Amino acid sequence: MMNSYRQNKSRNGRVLAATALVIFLFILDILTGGFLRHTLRSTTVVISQWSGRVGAGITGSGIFSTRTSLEAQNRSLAEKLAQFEERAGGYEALREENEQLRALVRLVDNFPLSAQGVTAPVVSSVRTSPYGTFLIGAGAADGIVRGSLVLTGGGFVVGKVTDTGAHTAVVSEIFAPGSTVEAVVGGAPISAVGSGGGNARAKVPRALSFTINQPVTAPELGQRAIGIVGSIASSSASASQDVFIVLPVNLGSLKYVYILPVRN
Amino acid sequence: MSIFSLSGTNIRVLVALIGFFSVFFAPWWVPLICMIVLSLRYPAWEVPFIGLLMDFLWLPGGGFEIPVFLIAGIVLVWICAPLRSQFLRP
Repeated sequence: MMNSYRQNKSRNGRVLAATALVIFLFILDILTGGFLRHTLRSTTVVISQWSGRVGAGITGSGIFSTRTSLEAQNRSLAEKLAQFEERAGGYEALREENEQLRALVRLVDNFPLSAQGVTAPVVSSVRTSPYGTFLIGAGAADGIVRGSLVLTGGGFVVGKVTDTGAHTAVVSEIFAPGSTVEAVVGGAPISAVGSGGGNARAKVPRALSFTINQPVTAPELGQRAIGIVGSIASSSASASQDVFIVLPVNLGSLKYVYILPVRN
Repeated sequence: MSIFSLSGTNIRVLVALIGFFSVFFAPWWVPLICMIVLSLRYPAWEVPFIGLLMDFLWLPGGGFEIPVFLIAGIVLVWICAPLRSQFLRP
């Protein structure tokens, strides 16, 4: 009886010490401006690069060649399809933007030559984070600051930089679970609620009409495209309809992103 | 003695290792499941550390957001203590 009591006390003592230590480490990290966090993220980038090399070595060695080649082909075709879809979506967004710009007498140059961005590799999977974030392999040393916009090759905004280390940065998805973005579809303002993975949903009056693949832009992000209308669900019994917004590129297949500098 | 016959300590080490490594590579629910399993079965001091690692890596906003996984780790390991002592006495 006495032994069991002592054992329990010792075990709880270890748990108590661990609890105190993690709280201390968390506070220490905040006080040091994220030193522990940034060191850990840099280590993750190195591990990610090494695991990528090891993975490439194993697949290149010919082991599992039949299955691997089929998987690679399948992946490559899926990526190509996603790229074409993204280009089509991007083209539609550009066409609409072009029409709007033509209607204006005075144009505002959104991309001055001095505002050159940075291309950075995506070094983590978007599925790994519970907060709708992912890591990129460029940071403050490359001129990236908090609030910088993160774009796909097709010009769609996928997120914003929310934390920067020297050579890494955390990007929060625009459509992170639970986040709300004020957007515009075909001139109609909507409030899109993110559900993660580049998907969002908006409840709009049934009187408004939308079409599939119609570009969705966000005024707060400089009228840049944030997605396209993927599907619409409406019922005659309801006064509103659900508009599902998707990013025309699979976030999981993104290897590089383009980071726009913050304009002063 | 087979290599597949794992003792309680080995299972604990294995689940903890899966938990730690999955923070980097696996979907977020894998470390969460490891945290729950460890908390339910052992007085696992590893659980708050898995939560801390998760928040250090993925928490946006420079550490000023709510560290959900760290809080979950601490709550899990303490909330399961009476259950463990009641039902899993050595």
